Amino acid sequence: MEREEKIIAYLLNELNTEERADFESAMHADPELKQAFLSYQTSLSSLDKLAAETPSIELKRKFESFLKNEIAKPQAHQNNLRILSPLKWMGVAASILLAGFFLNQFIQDAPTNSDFNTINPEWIQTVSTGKTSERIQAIHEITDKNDLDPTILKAIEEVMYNDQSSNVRLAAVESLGQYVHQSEVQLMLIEALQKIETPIIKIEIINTLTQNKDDKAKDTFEAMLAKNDLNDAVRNELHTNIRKLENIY
Amino acid sequence: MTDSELMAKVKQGELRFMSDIFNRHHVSIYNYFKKMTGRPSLSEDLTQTVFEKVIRSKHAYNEQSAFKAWLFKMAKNSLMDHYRSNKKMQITYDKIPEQVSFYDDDSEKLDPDLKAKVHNALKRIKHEHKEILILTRFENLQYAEAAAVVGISENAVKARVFRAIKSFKEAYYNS
Repeated sequence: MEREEKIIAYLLNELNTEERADFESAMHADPELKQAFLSYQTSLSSLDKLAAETPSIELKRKFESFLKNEIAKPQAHQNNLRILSPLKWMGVAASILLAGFFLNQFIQDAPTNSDFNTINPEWIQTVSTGKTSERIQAIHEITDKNDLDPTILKAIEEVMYNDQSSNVRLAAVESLGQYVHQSEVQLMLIEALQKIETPIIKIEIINTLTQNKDDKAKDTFEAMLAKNDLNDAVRNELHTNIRKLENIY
Repeated sequence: MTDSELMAKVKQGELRFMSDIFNRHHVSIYNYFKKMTGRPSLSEDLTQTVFEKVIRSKHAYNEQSAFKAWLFKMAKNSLMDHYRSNKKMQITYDKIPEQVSFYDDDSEKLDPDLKAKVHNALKRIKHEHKEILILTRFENLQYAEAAAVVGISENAVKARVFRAIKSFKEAYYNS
């Protein structure tokens, strides 16, 4: 170990007892070494005394405001449902029935020897006919409590495509996002990104795919940008996420 | 509750727990940016960005990994994104005088001359040396955590810390 390295190791307390004693003896015998040691000690001590600074209270206020909006998002969408016209309510009811139909159809088609028990009839009932908040909760609960299972995966996919509420569809994307590192989920989301029309769902899928830091996502994003009829918000999100994937980690 | 337990709640959709995470870590993240850039206002913007990213990337967090290292990696990436999108700001960094903001901490232990000397020395050393000093000396990250943030091995972190202390000492006495 060179002389300067030994000084730094001593200051960082990285020498063992014997090495420390040897170094201290050497310092007593060598004024030049002691001088070099003191210059390191002084500069490092000044650095360590640089106190932490406190940001303005505005930072906390701004974040709390942002967080409040994030927390309120699902509630805002639920409130929007209450002011739908009767005609639109009929559409909503039809969508719920349609989602229920897809889920029940799917369950009927599921192989009986699989881990079918992971989805119980009550869950199907909740996701088909429950309130928006109940459907969101059901989606989160099933993915939080269960390992990735093809039956669950397929069920969540059905919800992502067919639920009448964009919040429930978003919850489905979010839940699938927990497994985006698995290739079948990644491919499922890439396919959905191209099939689903709703911009907010597309944006959530784009962000979810970016988390996986995979070239497939970047290729898909770039291919999508070639389309002229792309929604502006989606286009911006694609640009942002391509940059992230180019620079990421 | 530990940071990992709070993040588990956030991942389950209980976003209100983000408030605790923010309260615990925003000063550290702000100071990382402040010491890296010397700019209070930019540091606040970047701090806000980091915590927004925590919410957006909540499912990418693995409860088995150290939260602080994950958070600082996000901060590092946000700073790099900022530099890439605004190269001019990086180039002109040294020309920007140290801004004394009204909310600087009164408990600063250094006298103003020494404080300026330390800041000038920090400005003069390499970005990677400054970063490793901030992470290990100010934020007290272990070498393993700093390695996860910077993306190098633990041994490489140790070697970098040694080089950083050496270059800081030279800059300190020549500033």
